[in-house]
Amino acid sequence: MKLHISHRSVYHYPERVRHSTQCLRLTPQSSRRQRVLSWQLGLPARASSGRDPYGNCQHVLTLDYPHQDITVLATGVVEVDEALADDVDDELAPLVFLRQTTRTAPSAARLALAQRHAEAVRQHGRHGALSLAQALAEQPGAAKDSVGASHALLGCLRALAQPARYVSGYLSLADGGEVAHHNWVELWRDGVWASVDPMSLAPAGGGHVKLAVGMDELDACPIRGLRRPSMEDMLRQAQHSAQQ
Amino acid sequence: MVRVGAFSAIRSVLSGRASMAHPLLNIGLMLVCPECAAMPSLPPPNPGLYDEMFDGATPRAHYAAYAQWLDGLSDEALSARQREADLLFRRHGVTFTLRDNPALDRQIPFDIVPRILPAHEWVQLERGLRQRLAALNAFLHDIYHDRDILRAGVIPPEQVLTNPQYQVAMHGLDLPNRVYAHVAGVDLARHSDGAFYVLEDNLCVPSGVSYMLESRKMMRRLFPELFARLDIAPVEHYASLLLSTLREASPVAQPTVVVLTPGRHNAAYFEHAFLARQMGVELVEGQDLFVQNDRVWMRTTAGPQAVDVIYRRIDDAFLDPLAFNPDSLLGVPGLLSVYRKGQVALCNAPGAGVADDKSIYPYVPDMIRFYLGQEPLLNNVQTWQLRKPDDLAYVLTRLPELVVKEVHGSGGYGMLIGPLASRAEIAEFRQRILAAPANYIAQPTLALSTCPSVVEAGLAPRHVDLRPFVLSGGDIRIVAGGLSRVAMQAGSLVVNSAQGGGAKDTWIVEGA
Repeated sequence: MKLHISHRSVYHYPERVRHSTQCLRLTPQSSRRQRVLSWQLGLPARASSGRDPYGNCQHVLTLDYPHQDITVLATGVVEVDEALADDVDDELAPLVFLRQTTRTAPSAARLALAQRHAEAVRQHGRHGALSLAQALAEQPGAAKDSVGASHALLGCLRALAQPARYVSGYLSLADGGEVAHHNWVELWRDGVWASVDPMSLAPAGGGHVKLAVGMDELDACPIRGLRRPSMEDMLRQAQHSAQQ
Repeated sequence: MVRVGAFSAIRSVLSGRASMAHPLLNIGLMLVCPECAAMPSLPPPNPGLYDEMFDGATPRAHYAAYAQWLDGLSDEALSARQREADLLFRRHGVTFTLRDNPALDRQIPFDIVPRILPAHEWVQLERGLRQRLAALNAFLHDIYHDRDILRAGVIPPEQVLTNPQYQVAMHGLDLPNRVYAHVAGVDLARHSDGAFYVLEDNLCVPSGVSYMLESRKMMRRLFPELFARLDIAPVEHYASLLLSTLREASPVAQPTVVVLTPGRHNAAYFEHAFLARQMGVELVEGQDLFVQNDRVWMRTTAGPQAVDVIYRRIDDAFLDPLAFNPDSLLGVPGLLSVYRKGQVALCNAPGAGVADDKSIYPYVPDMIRFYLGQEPLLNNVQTWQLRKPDDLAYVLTRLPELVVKEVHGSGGYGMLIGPLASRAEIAEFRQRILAAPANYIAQPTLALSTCPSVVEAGLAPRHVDLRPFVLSGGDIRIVAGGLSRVAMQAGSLVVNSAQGGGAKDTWIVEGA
């Protein structure tokens, strides 16, 4: 499936800031299941690019002049092999992804729930993880968004000694033609990273384009900037549109 | 004033005095002195302590000249010197902030009786330290590259890879000279058997070297006659060795070095300012630096200046809010991205802490064998890892006689000193252990050696340890001696500066 992506984000400070530095993870990389045919980032200033600790393509953008908005335009074409739900890379030892972070550490209730799926996850990998994700979704107070649902699933999988990582990317809804930011999970099984989308309760499909992976949202999110105490929660995403 | 001759008498008085009121679990003693801390029901497992100055009532050979000099000094003269020292330290503003009262800068208690080691004994220690740091740096390079030691099964992979101190960001980076721990403070203690043991390898941001240097300056002012009479190895060149080591961390020919401090509210701020001044480099806070075009820049009145080496005295988690703790206001946003491109050096390297973690400590002798093919020269303290069921079962039956430590703790917090703990404290700690056994290790109680120190009643033995500072760059450099930390309260083993321990000058004496 060939996806044409055009994604514009405007980050807005309520007050002008004199200086800011952002880390961007908005450039997909080719892998076994996705091929990046073209990609361009439109940024307000020259950014330096490199690979972050998880192997993601990262841009560091420093604006050293007074500004209130940061507009980022990402455009490109990515071809996704919808038959493949797994991916490979050998960046890091998978055991690293057993660590809990403050965002993934499971509550006692979730831990108990995870234990009930321990055998299924151990024996059946992805299918076990899917049933676990479903059980998590049915819990009272379950996360409604893909960030929360991914963290919840990651916490449970790691508690079951199953290495798992956070994935940030785009999701193209097959019928509407709209593209949105989306997050899901990959677990390490038999030498590959097997995908599980806790929102659709299915493996990643032809509409999932991977942007970045990490321990949790902090490592993989598309834009990470600094919040100074005077701007607590003021850096927010004001506009967010995309189309196929 | 009690004279030196009456020393053994003082010691027996101390031995009988076991009434130290310590909120032990919170204060966290370094080690246990079974003799000083004897509880009625517990016979001391180690009869007698090792005293650095005296063997029984006789001064040891390397202390003979000093003891003779001390004998010729009147009580009044000794007290006067101590008062003079206290005054000088206050005037200099040598401080360390206590954790329980962060608002209060506390003067480090300084004791004017030196801790003396003969040069031949130091030579052995120094060889051991060089060997240990060579192995620790080789280990750090390995676990961030091919992980041979994990593949060989010497250390269980999950012990390293899931350790919170293991920094994914270090994976695959090639550092100059393969050095991660440029500055190490290795804590050594002498047990009652007379041998030194490594208590821990501090590889993150070890502090205390300023007290070593200030102590020496003080002693030279107070006792010029002793420095004239004895052949005492110098320590004053530490700052220049440190600067050389920091420069070697950069591939640049004439690198610009800065000291990065969390700020004046940090306990060791005095030391940060002190070292920057001694090296003649800028002392900066995170907000003084910024990242642009793959370089780190320092804001100066003459415009931005590129920085090549950062001697950072802030923890990994606070270095870069875009890579680690997002709430950190102490670090430099984007710093890690520049570091990963080799455009700036960080000393010590992020992720060095995995090698000084208490859960990794038991494997250091194996690291020395694995990387260097040598037998370890320095002793490790026997350590039970409570994540192992057998070790756990054994330790749970022996809690009243062991020291139990949290694996990721530092500064002497979060531990159980069995022989000093009440039954209730032991019961409570047992629950904590059972809740998460993998978080704990246990060790036998060592009897820290003592050294005579000036107290109100005259001279009395106080427990000491030794922290030499090991600098690793193109070469390994160590100034002779280090910081001798002393527990100023009778029987106490709290030698950590953060916990109110004091300092002594350490003399490595030739021809003794």
